[in-house]
Amino acid sequence: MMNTTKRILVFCAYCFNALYGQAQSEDPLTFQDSINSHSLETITVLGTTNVRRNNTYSFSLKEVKPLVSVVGETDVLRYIGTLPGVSQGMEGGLGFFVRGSNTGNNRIELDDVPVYGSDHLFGLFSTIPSEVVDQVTFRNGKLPAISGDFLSSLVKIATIQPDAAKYRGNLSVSPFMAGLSVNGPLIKNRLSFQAAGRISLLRPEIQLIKAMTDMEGDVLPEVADLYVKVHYQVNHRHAVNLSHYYSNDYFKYRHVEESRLESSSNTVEENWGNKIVRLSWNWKIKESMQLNTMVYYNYFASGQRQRTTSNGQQTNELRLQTLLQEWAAQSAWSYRTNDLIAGAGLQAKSQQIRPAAEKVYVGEASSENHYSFNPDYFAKMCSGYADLEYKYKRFTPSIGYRINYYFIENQRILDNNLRLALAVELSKETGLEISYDQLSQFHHIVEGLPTGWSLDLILPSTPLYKPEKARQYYAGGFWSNKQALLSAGVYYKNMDNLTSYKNASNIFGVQNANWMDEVVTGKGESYGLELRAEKREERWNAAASYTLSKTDRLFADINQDKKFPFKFDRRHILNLTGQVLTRKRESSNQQLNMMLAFSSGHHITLPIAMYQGIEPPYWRQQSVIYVPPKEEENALYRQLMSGTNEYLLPSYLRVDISYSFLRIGKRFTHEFVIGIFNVLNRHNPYLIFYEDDRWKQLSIFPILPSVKWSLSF
Amino acid sequence: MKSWIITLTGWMLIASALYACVQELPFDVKETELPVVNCILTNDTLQTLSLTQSVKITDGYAFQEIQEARISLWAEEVKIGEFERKSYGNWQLRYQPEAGIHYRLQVQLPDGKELTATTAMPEKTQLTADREKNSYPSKYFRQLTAENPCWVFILGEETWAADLMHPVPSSKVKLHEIIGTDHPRVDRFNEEGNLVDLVSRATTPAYAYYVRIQPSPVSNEEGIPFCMQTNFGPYGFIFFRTASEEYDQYLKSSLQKLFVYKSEDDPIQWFDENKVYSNISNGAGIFAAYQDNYYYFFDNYDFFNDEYH
Repeated sequence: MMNTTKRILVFCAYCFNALYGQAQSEDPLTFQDSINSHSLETITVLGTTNVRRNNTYSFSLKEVKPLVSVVGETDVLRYIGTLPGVSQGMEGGLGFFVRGSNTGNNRIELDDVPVYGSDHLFGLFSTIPSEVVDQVTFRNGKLPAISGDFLSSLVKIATIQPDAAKYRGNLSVSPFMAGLSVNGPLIKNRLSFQAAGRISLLRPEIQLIKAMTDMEGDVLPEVADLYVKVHYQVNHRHAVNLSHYYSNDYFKYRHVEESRLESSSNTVEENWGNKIVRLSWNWKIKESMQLNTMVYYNYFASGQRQRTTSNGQQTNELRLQTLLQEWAAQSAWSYRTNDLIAGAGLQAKSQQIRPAAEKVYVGEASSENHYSFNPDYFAKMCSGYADLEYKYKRFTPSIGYRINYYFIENQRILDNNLRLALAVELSKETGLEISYDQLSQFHHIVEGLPTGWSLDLILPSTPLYKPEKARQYYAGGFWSNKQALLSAGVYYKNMDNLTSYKNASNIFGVQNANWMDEVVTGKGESYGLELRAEKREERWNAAASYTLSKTDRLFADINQDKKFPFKFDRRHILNLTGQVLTRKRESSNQQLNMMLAFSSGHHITLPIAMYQGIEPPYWRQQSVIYVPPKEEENALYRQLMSGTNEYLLPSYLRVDISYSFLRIGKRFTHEFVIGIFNVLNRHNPYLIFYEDDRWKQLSIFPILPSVKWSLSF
Repeated sequence: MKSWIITLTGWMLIASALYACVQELPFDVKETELPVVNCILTNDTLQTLSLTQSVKITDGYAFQEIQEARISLWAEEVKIGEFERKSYGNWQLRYQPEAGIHYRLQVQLPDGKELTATTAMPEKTQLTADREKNSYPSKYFRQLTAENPCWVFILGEETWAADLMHPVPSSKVKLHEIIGTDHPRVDRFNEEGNLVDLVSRATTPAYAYYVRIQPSPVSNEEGIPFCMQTNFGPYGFIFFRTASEEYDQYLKSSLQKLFVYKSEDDPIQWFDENKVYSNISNGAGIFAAYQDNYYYFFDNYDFFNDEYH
């Protein structure tokens, strides 16, 4: 009986926390401390119940594991792509576009600290080791005022609390990655730790393939991440956490050309990663009230280097670098009773931002000459917020207010955000929800690139590039019980001060050093219908999400100042997921997982005609004997381009299947998962181009099997 | 079991190497044919224009001329005259534009279609040469006015007799591929490393073919001092082309496209292509204006040849 009571208490506390108070809580499991303070001797968290509402979806590894990724890694961010209101970017990648916003408008928080570079391997999987994740909460509306500096969705990733009594661990291996995680006590019930890391196996594998074949060039990818946390439970009221998070991606490609007269090489290197150090103090003032204080240091850098050599001599070197450093402190007070939830706090942060496209040339003769034209920006922001939610009979109104005071280059910007919501309980199982959110983002991640990976240009808000602003309206309803959920809603969102490249391709040109000429500001608008259905049974469960939406952009100097479709404006998006427990024994389980992803194709701009041009001054009087044909063609002729994003690519369809074997032993649990990404081997067009007198398509991923083995104790 | 896993892993690695495939696609691109008019007004007494038809991407570069048309030039809404067809696709009007005047081009086609565009003839950029400071590889100037963008390029010839080149560049004179400047308002869009890697004693960044000086207010009477650098030969020209807003956008966007899509092997060609600026309504092409002045040098003796053009 006692156990049951504890379970219910845990369950209720968790639901309450996740649904209403999650924003105020430093860690979803802090309620465990609260229960401890009620003189319960020990407690075991038996599982978490996920919140499913119109604007809020929380999920744990259990939901994420069945999804097949390109590299076979369990990825908490991949699940977001299956939810309503989310449009996919590049196939197989993690770029997600929520309710018409850019992928850089999402805020991904790891224990309340923003992660600016969340992608490994150009967006194929996330930098968050899944073994450290307890629960993820995705919100695309009804956003709490505690979180700011974003324009679209809020993804809060909460890490697990290290086990204070015994050691637990997990070892996993897939063809691409190997991972290890351990957590347990350092001093029983007082000081505990958690460590998890992954490292890529690609480098030795490629070297092995090279040794076995006559593969040309030299490709060296390296991927690694690490998360370490130490938890100190001072007493039942005070706890301290110190954590470090690190991720690194390095990719090198070297191509050598040799002839009798000359040997030349071209080396391209890409490198990006995060470093976060976080210290937090959780003070439970009384059962209904707590204070969470946190300081952190956040570092994100992304760099590219290209070197050319001729006969062993370096001829040129180009470097591009984006850097963001952030120092922040915040304190959040929260109070909650059965009817009332209140929160308030202060946040301060200081940022150093170095926009991409810093160029440094190191030529043979100019080894002492380094050019670095783009200055760093230093910005500071102070924010205050308050959230209030009160339940009165069937009505639960809530209000959030956030004020931001932003300084940069002797300029000051005062910014206010108001967030309103009303939930109406029609019956035990049905309800309505309306919400209004004002959002501001004080850094720009310039859109226009077709990829959505972390090499995008990061700019601070300045008087020239003002903070991005959005207003979002939502109305919907839901019906749910223990086994099923149906939800439906409509939204309208408009956005100001968005940034985009005029011609995204220019950023790839080595000559382009001046990003300011390439970036323009504009507006966006999006509206749509979102539906979600879920059914859970003992041996199977299934979910479906459907989105019908339209998203446009309007930018100066793009598309002759006329409105155009957003690149990833997909009219229809349908995602189906399902799991069937095919075998259930005390010591083993087997499960079949399926996923179907269908969406309208994305938009592209195409050349539709050629015409005579006016050549650049004295172009034909060059002293060089040979001008590459493509260069000559572009000097003499012009392509007439279609309207921006005027063409719609064919629809996207993909089916993934995986099968997992779970063997539960006395000491160890083994899991073996075989997955097939794109089992139909459908070549979904990523882009099309004209070559050799015909139109061709480029597809990224054909059928792709994956396998992963893991052992946990 | 173990060997099965190794086999599977090996097979997966091979499958991974097959990432990204290209195949033909039956795709219905609504290609279009448009009338194309190109006309750049210069500070010459004869203005030229081309009137052709665009072709489909799938066709070659044989641009059909449009023979029948009525093409008028208007200055501040006063008709200046009509262009006359002189040869295949080429039309001419004897007229010297005036700086500061707004011009409108009107092309009326037999099918009733009308193409229009506007531009303004810019004021010539005022410069002075600081000849006494010149030393290889630098030639020094002061920019006194900078209301309009200015494009700088250098023509030279080492063996050609100077008097055959002067006062106008002959067809034998060569365009320098890499030039440098320390102008504070230079646009870095076509920067290509350091000039010292190609030219000894150079101190500036290198730019491909052209230097674009952005417009800016000139606050002091002494102007903006700057130098131009390249591997100067004994004879040559430094051109300063003051561009209308339309010519500036057209030339810059043309060069950006040219530089980005240099190589057919470059995967950049697969991304959405750059757009080249056009200001012709109901058609394609460009109507713009520029004024040239140039600096002629001959061994150690320099002229500032404003009067020649």
